[in-house]
Amino acid sequence: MKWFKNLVGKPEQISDRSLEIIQIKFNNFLEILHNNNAVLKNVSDMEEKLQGEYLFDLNYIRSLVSEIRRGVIAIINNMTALGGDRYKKLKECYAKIDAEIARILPGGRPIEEDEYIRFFDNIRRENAYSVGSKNAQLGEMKSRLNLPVPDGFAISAWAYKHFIDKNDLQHKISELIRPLNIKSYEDLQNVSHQIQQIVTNAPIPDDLADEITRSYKKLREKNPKARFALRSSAIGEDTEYSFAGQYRSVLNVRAVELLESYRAVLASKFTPQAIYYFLSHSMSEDELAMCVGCIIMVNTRSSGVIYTRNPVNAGDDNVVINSIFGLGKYLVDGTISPDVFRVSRGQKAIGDSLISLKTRKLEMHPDGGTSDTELSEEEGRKPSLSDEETIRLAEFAVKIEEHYGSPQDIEWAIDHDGEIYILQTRPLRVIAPPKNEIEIDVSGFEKLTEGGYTICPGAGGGPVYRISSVNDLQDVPSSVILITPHSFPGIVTVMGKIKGLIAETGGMASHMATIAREYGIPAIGNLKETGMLNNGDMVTLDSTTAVVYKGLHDELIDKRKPDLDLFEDIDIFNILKQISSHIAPLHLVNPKDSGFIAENCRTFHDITRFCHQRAMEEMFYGASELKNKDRFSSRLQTDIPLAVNIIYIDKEIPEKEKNRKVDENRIESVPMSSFWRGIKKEGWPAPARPADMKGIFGVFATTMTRTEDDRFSEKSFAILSDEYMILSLRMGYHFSTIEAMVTEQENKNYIRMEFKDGGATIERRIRRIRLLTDILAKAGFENYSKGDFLDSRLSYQDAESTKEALFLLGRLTVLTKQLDMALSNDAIAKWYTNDFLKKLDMPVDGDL
Amino acid sequence: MTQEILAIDDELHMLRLLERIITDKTPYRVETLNNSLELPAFLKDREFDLIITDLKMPGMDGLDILKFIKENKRFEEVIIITAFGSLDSATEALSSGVFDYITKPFRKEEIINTINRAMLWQECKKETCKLNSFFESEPLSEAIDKFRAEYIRRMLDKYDNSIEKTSQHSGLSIDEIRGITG
Repeated sequence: MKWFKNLVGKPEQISDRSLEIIQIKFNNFLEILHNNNAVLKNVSDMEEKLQGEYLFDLNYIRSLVSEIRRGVIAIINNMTALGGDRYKKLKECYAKIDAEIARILPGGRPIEEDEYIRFFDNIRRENAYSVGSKNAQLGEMKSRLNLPVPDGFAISAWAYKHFIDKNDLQHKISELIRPLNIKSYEDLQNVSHQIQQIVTNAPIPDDLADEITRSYKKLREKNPKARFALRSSAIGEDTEYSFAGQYRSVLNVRAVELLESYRAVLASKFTPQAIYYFLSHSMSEDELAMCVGCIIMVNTRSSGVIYTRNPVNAGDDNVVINSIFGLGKYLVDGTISPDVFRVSRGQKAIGDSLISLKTRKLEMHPDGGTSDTELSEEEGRKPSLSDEETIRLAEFAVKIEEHYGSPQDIEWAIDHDGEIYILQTRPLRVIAPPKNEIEIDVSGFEKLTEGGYTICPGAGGGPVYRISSVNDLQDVPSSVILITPHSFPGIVTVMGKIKGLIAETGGMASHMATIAREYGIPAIGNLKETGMLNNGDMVTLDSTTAVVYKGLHDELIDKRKPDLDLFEDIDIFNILKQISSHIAPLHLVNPKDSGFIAENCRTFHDITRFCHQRAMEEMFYGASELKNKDRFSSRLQTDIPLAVNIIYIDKEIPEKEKNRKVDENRIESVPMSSFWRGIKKEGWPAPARPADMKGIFGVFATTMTRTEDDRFSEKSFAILSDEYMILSLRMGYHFSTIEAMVTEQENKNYIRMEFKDGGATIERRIRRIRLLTDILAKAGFENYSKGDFLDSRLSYQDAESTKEALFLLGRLTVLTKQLDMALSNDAIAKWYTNDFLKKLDMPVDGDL
Repeated sequence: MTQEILAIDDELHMLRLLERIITDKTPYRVETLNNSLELPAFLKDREFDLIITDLKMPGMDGLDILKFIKENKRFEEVIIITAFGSLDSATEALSSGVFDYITKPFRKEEIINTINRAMLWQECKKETCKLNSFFESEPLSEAIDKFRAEYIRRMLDKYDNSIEKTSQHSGLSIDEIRGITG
């Protein structure tokens, strides 16, 4: 940047402070351009990866997102430097968009400052980054949807950070983890245990302890008879990985156990899996942060899980309600097989129901803790929901799904007075059925056993491998059909390597089922008869029909494979797709729209577009406000009657006024000289002949009547450097701005033209826009037009092509001068389009 | 015999992508391993044609795996997947005899082409080994016997295991063919 060196190296030559300001602004402006290009390049990189042609990993997404974040933040900072504090609201827009991205892709961000405590009525889903997903959803449902959600408050990630920092725990934990080479699950378990102990024994800072206790009292005063639970609510939980269910909840927490329980929940984050992940991917602090919710416990009579769609059959849009007696733990951990009610969403009528034998129930114990009760056969066979309750639950479920716009997995409970409470909601993964249902001939197969529910449809084959507890997990070999008596949390660690899963208890709504669907592992639940399946037996599990066959049947496995686009159903594509929806779409197109304001930036792309536009305007504004502009602007010397003032931003300004002229054949700016060659090539014609006599004002007349004292902005003027130009062209009644960068690096090159206004009626002006669009599209420009406004751009071309396009724009500028006047109907417009195309040596429609 | 691939990565996302693409777009069988430390035990009585592994992993990393394969003079070829920018390790891998390395993110075609190339290479390797074992046999009659057996096996393959046709086209008697196939 030569001019910058001038600025720094030879300050004595810059006599005018206001020019210096312009140059500083230009510096910021160039930075914006640079970052803008970088961000757009990353955005298109991301969109390319979404086409399904590439394989990539989470690290790719992480580094791409952090690059884009860096670029957008730099743009906002430069924008504030360029245009002042009124652009500070961009930071709020950024924070809002970024919070959504962080919800999908946690990590890489410092924990943000917030209250230690937030009560649910003061939480929206936007707060997910501070209070964790689960708390945020509860707050959202309470405050925005008015749903019956138990009262409570969240202890934020900021509180967690305070606790960790005060006790220097981050350091202590790192010390423990660093020497660990993951040789075995056992070592991981040991370290996990040690860390959990450190966390449980660390004192909670007084101010935090006070606030937790005070909030607890407040909640207690409002609900004197209630009991309370502390629940984990990790940032990003339920979205990226189904770590769900692996963290601890403490039920029935009394005042004296409050702080101890808080620490216990925090400690539960340090599972062997989390440490494994920490070692392999270096987790950032927010990924380890644990938010906690203190929630009123429902004195539960019945509870369960609602799927707003059938997760194993996308064609079935019934609401599916799983329900048991007592607390929901026995349902999600698979101890009990639930009653299943299906409600059609249209008629609100209960369809197929299945009443299971519920052998036991878990209830709150009056003195804290929980107690397990066996149910008699008579009790256990009763339905756990009345018809009326079933319908009401389904209504809530539909309302929640409509609010979130996607199928949901909802936890609920009903107390002994029949009051319904919604406890949690999160997105539900629905497995699409094969597009062509194929009949498979299984008559020759030997059936070993059958029964239970489909947890995840499909088929898989391999040797049988049985486990009975979490301790067996580390020995599970690859490619087996795993049989487990019930679900337990660590099971996620083997999901990547097994071919099929059989659970002897538990249904579609257990956490294990969620995980199996996420990994697409063929799985069935509640299969009682498994005695004949011995370790090492080669079997094929057809989970779609819930049958186990002897031997390996590849054709069955093949045919049961979901019939999807190659990667469509794979998590990582969905993660990128979701993130991309907050980055790539462009909503701010027309800067003349009243909606073109910072507040309306909904994506990072909007922010960059907005900033680019405003930065350009700030540059113009700055230039038009310059005092003594004659002292540093030069006049373009030309026989064309068009007054163009030029400011070279990277050159010294001649002292003497008479020297401040620029010969049109020696324009020291690559883009401007190409553009001007185009103007010269066409020459200056007489005004286009209007078809009628309405409003004829020749450019000639206009420019001639203007005096030297006209405001700068009303004249044509250009800010130029070797590689850059921004040209504001006033010709008659239309106004265009052409901005261009021409360098040796293709990815920096671009042209942007904005075209607006005109003397003729709107119909004629629109015809001119259409004509321009037709011609520019043929030259490779991308066009966005609205009414008589056109935004046309060309990017990533090599220097030669960019120069040629500028030359073309110069010619077009002359050709279309006041053309709108002549475009009295579409046929004439078409004629002109073809005439120009011929003149420009471009193919005319119809003669390819 | 279907050729077999073992894919190793600690990131399940990537493993699933690899598994999907190999199953859908190539004729080869694929198995996956999420924990590289299980590899030595896993390979004890198994042989694959190709191992595709991530470079950076906890436990055994890609280079450890490559070393393990080479030191034990195993048959498998190794393709290492690296993140863009870890070129030093890639160079080290090349000098340690990696078949190829691919930088993430990569196109489907890129991995498929590399896999196909590796599989073709492995087929040639097997073929050469077999021929070498013929040539190393002593005395000559032993080598000729081996060749004859292999020749008959391939003719049988070509003629759908029909002994009559094989006899007709090879000019060998039916008894001679039976003598080989048993």
